[in-house]
Amino acid sequence: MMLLHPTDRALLRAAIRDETDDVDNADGAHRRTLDHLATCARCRALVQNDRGIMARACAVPVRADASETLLGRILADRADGGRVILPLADARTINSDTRRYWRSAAALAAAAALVLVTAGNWSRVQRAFRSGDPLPTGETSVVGAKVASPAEPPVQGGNAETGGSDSERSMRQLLSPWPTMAYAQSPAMARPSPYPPVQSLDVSRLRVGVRSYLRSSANDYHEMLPHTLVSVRTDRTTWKGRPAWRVVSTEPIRTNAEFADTLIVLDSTLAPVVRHTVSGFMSQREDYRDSVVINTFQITLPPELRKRMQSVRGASSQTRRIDSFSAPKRLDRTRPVVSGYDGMRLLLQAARLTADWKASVSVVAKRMDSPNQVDPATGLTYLNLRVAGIDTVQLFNGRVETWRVLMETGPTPEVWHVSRETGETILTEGAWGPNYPDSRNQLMGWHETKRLPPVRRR
Amino acid sequence: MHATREPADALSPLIAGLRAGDPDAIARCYRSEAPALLLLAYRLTGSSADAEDVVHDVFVGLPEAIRRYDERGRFSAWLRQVTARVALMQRRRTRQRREESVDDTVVTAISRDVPSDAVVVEDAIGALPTTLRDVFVLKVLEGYSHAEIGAMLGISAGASEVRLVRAMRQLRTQLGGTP
Repeated sequence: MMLLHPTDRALLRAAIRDETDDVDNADGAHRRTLDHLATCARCRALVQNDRGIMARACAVPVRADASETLLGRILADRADGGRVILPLADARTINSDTRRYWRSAAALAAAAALVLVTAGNWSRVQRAFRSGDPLPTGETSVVGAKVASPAEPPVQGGNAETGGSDSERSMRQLLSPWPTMAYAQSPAMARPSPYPPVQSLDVSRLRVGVRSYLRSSANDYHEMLPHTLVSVRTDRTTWKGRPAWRVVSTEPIRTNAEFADTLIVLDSTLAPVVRHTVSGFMSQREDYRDSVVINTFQITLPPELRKRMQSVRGASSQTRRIDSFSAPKRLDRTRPVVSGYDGMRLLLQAARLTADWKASVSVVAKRMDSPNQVDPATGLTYLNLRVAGIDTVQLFNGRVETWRVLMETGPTPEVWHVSRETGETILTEGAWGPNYPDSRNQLMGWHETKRLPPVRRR
Repeated sequence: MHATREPADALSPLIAGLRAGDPDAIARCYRSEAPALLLLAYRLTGSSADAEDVVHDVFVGLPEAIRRYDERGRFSAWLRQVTARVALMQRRRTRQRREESVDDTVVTAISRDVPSDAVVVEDAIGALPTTLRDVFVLKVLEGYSHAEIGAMLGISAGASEVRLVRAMRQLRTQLGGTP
């Protein structure tokens, strides 16, 4: 008679379980394995061998020396205000059936959350532009995530990303593939005063061409989020007769909508003059004047939606533009003004970084400012940048030595890795807006071109 | 394996001190727990420098994190689980960005003056692919269940079990016995 041996998994289970396991108390599968082991010398030897290996591994008398030097470093860092976010252990265990159930539930929840998050961001942008103030922080979004305000440290031991009621928090923790995080604000990260402005820019380092960046964002629903390829085209152009750079970023965000961001900066100073962003049927324009930037925001209905509204409401005179408003914001012109990620890429490439480089820039991008960085002398927003070391970043075609540039954005500093050789931004790490605490943009490819991009008409 | 159970009465002042960020409490906790945590971190990261970084981060962040510790489980087990998570995160970061080592002669935290068989076993564990080594270390040396390991690594309990089987196959080949 042919003897059917248990699987490797079953034998390993038997090896891990206590040798004194009582056959009568074992579950069905394990009982069958134990019955088999009683009669099969080969499998018994296999289990004994596995037990021997595990016993040898456990008996390895390797010891680690916890040095007083390390303790001194820990205490010094604590005394200096250093804090570290620790992923907390969760004692809850989830059996496989429950995990499967929650995975399907998580897919639905993630889809709903994406819709709500988009709507939440939309309403926040509207309010901000109406009031003419920077985007508020420390408010609760529609999904219940409280955005920690740097001026108002989160409750000690609490979770800045997972605010809301206990039940909401519990649900998010259960859905999350990542451990619960306890956020602690590092006082050392928030600088009370600005560095000197960026002094000299070498625009000869800038190169026209097309770059593509892979953006991956993470939050509690990390597994569900797709990665996005952002294409950035840099060209020479003129603006009112003056030589300028034009940077166009495009990103497919939905089946029938597209994101396009066009930034024009002057050639020698990299000062932004205009920026136009289109996202679906929403558009925003920033006109930079001497000491102000004027935001114009509008929603334009696509023709098919306009027809539908007309048929429902019977409003034959319905215009395409359904909402438009503008708001001026003051600009700090004592420092170079940086508009968005594309503006920052150009500036870091032209800045000729060194190991001890540090400088401040004036910012208007909502993500980059925080209440910690309002200059008390002027009441205007600035951003501190500094080189914090050297890294080596692995790309598809090899390793690139980079400067690690820290953007001191309070409790969630962004890290930009800038090629030491070319000044090209290779990788950025940090939060992407308030809803994605972990995000990366990695350079995937580039080629130089002299061709001007096609003019987009919408 | 897990350390022995700590007397609750002895722990309470220590935990209170840690929650207050008391340097003496941190030093006391470091001296009693750090050797085991360093070893665990070393086994998960495969680098003594990374292991030191992990333990550094754990103790710097401990006073804030410990406010979430409800004192129902063993403190040392909780601390080991936090360390394991930090080590796994640290490795994920290192994999994405190969950091330049400032000094190749970093202090070796792990002493290797041990019997030759132990070195052979330790080297065999170290030679396992990372995905298999994680499961082996967490299951066999740390005693976590497959469900707990799955939660830590973001995989299912079944996948954790399969990885352990593969790890054992490889160890059998390297350490002798039936492959």
